[in-house]
Amino acid sequence: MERREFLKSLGVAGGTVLAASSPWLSAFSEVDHTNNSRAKLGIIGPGSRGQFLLSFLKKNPNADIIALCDVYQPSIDQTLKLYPQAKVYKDYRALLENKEVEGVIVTTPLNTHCQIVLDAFDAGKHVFCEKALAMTIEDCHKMYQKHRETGKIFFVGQQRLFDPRYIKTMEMVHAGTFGELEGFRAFWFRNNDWRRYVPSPELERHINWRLYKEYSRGLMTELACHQIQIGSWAMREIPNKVMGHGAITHWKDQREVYDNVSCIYVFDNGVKLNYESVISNKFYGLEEQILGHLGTVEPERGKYYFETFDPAPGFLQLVNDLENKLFKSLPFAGTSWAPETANVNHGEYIIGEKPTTDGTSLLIDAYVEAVITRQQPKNIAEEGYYASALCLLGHDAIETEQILTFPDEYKLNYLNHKKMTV
Amino acid sequence: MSSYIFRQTDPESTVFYAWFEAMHTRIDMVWCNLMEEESVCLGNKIQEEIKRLEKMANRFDPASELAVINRLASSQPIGISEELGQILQECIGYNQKTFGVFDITIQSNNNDRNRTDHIVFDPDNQTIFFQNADIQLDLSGYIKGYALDKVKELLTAYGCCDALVSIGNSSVFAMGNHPMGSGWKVSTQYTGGALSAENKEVTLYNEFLTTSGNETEERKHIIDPATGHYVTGARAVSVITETGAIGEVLSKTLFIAPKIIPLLRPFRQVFL
Repeated sequence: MERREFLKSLGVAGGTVLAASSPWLSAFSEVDHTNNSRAKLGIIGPGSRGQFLLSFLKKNPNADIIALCDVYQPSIDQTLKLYPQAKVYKDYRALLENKEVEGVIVTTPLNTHCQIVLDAFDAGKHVFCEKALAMTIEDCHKMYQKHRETGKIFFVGQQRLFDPRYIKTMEMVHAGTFGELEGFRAFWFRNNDWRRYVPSPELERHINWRLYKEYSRGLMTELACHQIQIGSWAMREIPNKVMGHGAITHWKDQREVYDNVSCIYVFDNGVKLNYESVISNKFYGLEEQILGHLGTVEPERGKYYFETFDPAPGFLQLVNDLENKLFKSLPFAGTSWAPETANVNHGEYIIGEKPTTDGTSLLIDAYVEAVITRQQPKNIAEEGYYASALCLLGHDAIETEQILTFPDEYKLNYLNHKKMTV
Repeated sequence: MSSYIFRQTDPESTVFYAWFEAMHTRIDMVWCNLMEEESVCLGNKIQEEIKRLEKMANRFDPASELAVINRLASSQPIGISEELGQILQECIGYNQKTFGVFDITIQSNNNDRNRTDHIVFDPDNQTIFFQNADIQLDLSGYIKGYALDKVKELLTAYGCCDALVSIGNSSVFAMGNHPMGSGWKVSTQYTGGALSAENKEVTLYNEFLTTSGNETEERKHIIDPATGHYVTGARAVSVITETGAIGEVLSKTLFIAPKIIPLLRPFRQVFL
């Protein structure tokens, strides 16, 4: 989806509720003035996720990858196919010394993020770091603090923040369309061993780093970090309490991280987000269900459902048009509506159609835009920080088998949190 | 009124949308620039009014006034409320004006084309009597439009100037203007494949848009008095009128007998 289509599809013009729900969309506010500018970027660790991001960057005329760093030759070769002029580095610190590089994209294994990002900020670079941010909340906090100290752009790869389905969902949630929020059920079920092909045994930990505690926090940092955020985005509140359990129940293949995890995050008013990930059954797939007393949203599926009698989509669209100062036709008049023709609750599409994008391309485009304009979109660093911090708090709860509360020393001045002053 | 959405669109403007189920269909209503409390109050009044009319005129509800009349009026004169008496007499008048096409006795158990002649009103005693034992009255093809006329009265009484109200999508009233333009733009949406080419957009201003037809080939529900059979074919007719009641009469009439358009000049309306 093109940026213009994206903004149009959301009815961004004049949408005050939308601006309040997803303020980081301001990243595209100057898109008309940046058409002739180019962001010179370096990518550090262009493995599978990095290649995915590069596939979008290649289509963005405002982005140029002028440097890349990796120690794994296949990743270097693949990147050079897309950007043959890019300078190749084996050590990221050398890449950071390249004065031409304005911003970096960090897609290395989790355990390396913190030091690379801190060094990048110190080198005066803008930073896009893949989620999760780091191995500990403390490291995430250090990264965020460094962003604040240097004033450089800081994005975390939380693509749902730019996914039209989620943006529209939150607009509706915050407008009260689904009533009071009563709970969340987030889950990610797969049925595979989560392993990648290893051409040579000595590369096992290098390639399958997600499976080892030295490099990864497993399902909590690789999958849950996408999803826990939905609760705080909807509630506009950080849950302060978490309990959980993890185990290896199926893939007993020398891996160290759990293949079966559950966490309960508790908001201050008692509303809970139940998180579950199991990778030996895929029947229920992936979703974040938002449960209001008037209705339910399944943003991943792109649908919402009302508890009893649904409002009419055409009239909901009219309300949305009125908010956005639009005068459009209402396509609803026709032969009589009767309950027998509408008694199965199939739900309605959140954005009027089946989803076609997950927000990744728009997220990376927004980063390019921010590098060019040098303007940090509102709340995006904070959202990125808390997305990682919460999944790491869940991980800690699993490891300690205790009910944990969010540590005061790592709170930011954000939503219901107040930064602790000494 | 439990199902509604209220939004302050800017410091000076509001929008209220409420929906509920009644008359075996859905009712959707939107209006602008009334505060939330007022809007809820108005919404409740409209809901009460529509449910009241449903209670009076639903022939499937054994306790409704109409069902009692259907059950007993052939054996003895039955007391009738002033309002229902007036509705029935108006409908009988429309039966004559439409040359028998619009017919509230269509569900009767006989094929006598002069059934309405056997309905006797006694204004002094306020009763109704069926001289023919098989007469059954059915207001389902009329009451939605009548209800919309009542809704218009309530909106006016509450000082509402700009509103859009739909009863089952087939009976629509547009009052005043959409805040961003003149009138309200509404387009017909026939889901039957054969009808898709007929979809049209209209701008309504203090007018009623009424549609009658078959949504699909299979879902037919309007009987042609001339044949006693359901009208077939996935097609529909929409009319724009000054009252909801006349909209019901004309849309049904034209759906059943499209060829009589030239004979309907006494009615002021627009045919889509």
